[in-house]
Amino acid sequence: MSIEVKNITKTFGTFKALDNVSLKIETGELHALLGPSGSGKTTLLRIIAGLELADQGQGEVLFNDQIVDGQHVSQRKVGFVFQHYALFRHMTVAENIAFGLKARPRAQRPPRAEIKDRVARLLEMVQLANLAHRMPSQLSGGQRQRVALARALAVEPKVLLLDEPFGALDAKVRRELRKWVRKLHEDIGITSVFVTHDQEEALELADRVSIMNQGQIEQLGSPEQVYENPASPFVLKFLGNVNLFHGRQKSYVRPHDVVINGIEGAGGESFPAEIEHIGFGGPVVNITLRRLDHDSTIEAIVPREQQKTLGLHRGQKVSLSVRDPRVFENDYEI
Amino acid sequence: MSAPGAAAPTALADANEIPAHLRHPGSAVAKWVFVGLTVLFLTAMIILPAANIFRQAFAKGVGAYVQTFYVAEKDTAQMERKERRKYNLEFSQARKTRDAIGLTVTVAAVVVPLNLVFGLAAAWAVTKFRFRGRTLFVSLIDLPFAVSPVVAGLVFILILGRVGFFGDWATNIYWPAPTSIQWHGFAESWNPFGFSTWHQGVIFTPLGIVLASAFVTFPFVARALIPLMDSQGTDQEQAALTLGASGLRTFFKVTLPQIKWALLYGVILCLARCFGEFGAVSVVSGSTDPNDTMPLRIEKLWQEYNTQAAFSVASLLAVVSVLTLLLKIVIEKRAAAQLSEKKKEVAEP
Repeated sequence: MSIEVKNITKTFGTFKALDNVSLKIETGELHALLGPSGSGKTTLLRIIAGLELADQGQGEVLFNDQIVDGQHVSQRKVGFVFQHYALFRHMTVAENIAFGLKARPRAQRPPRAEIKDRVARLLEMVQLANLAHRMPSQLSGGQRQRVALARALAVEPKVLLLDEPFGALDAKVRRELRKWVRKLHEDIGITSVFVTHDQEEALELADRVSIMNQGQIEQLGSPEQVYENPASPFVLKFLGNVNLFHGRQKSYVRPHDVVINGIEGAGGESFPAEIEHIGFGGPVVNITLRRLDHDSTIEAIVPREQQKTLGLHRGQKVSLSVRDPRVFENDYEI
Repeated sequence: MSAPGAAAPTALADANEIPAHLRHPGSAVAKWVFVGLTVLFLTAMIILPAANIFRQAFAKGVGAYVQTFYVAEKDTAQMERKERRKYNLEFSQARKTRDAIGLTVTVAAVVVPLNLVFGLAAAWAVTKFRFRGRTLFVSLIDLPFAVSPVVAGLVFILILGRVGFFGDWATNIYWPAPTSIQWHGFAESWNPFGFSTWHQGVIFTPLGIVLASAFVTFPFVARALIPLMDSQGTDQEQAALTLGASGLRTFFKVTLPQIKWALLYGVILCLARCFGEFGAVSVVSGSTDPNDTMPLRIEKLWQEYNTQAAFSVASLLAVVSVLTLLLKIVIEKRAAAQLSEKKKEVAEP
């Protein structure tokens, strides 16, 4: 099912959380709403779910080209996974998952045996079959997350909405779960939207990404598009570390596009710099340099092999050049 | 302290154990001094007076104790005049005492459900919604604790009495005594029910007593719920709604099970206070015998130098207090477990 929002505005008191936002998410897409806190991404997700209402007379929400503004959250058939899971902590895992099915009006409620069967299948799917009778407080963060997901999927929603789904997990679990969610999405093919402030997560997981800032969508596109062709300095900065080179115009360069003592940028400008710090980063090294002709520091990432062959060390004077510098219109230095 | 149930013994034990670095070295003397002082105070102020209640109540034996509440009906025709007068007095006194107990229970049976609903509504309002004037609202909930009960009673007289603030409108209200309901059948009117007893006005009737008691005991339920519901937030309710549950189902299946112990705790406190309330009820009851609740009855018996009877009625209230205390201990523990479990869950991930 496709999701579309048109001209949505939402204000909390004097704060404008969303400012005339429009967005169309295609059927079967896994879409990321990416942005810093306060950018309005969670508000947008909650408006899609029906947990918040847009400002009176401002815009509309459509599922499959049908306006759903008048539908209460309990009628919209969305699966919503909350940031802190919001599991019913007085119910077992199995009871949590069965809740949505049991809450249906009698005519649509599946028979008891079928509910039990569906719960068992969902538990199988989220790999928690052996924990069916545990209470949520006895589960780890990652397990709770999967229960929340199973509970949301139990009611066979038409769209799946996830609010910071991996925000409360530690890094390792987060990576595992990310892969698992991607696979799950491919298996069941449900239109999904997730909110995150982690650009790595958004770029790795999503089919398309909306990058939000101050209540507006700055750019929408596939991960490659937004990373390769950022529409604004904000998007560029938000999607990863970036160096600012001051000149007549500001130019932005990613750390891995900084070339040290190399020949690649030889044709263009080069800058003298001194190595301030070398940090270990697995297959690469992160090098902090101070420009000698300008009071600024530059971050560079080079492969470890290259560091060894060039013999880079702290305090060394080097020359820098850049490839692929980005310049934006109307972005002059003041 | 360790919890008896298996529900959350670890959480409780952790919370009550003082970490080693916070314990005072060589504080054994101080400990015994404080324990001793507390025991002394409790003995002098609570245990001895409580024991005295029962001693006085049974001072004339078990028979006299029972006679305070129940005197068997006898044929007075053969009695001498003096004997008959004594018997009639005892008989009517016992009936008044029984009526007082009945009225107290009736009032509580009305007031406690009322405050259960209103307390729950108030707690719901201040914890699940954010609105202008919310802080003022929270302090208003506590107002009955701050106001002297006598003043509270007087306020009701000023509003609903004969020389009321808005005139004597309330004295013209007629209302039926619910216990006097009768079946008339459909022959005379569409309404088959009728009442044999009607009351006029609000003040100096049981209705006034209900109002005064409800006012005084209002904060208990709300106060017991607010901290718990505050810590729970609205996430689980919202989750239930997204899963298609109706508002009512969400309340009964998600909210209520998680606040039930705190709710029961508030109800118990509300009930105990309702039984024992003297000041506010005394003002609105008008000192007529049919309007006596148990505390007012005790006061009257005491004024009549009927010490043994006064203490006998008091012994009932004392039993209620002890039961309340025991229930309170059990429920408080459950409620605390519910609260700490919630906090733990929020802190963990």
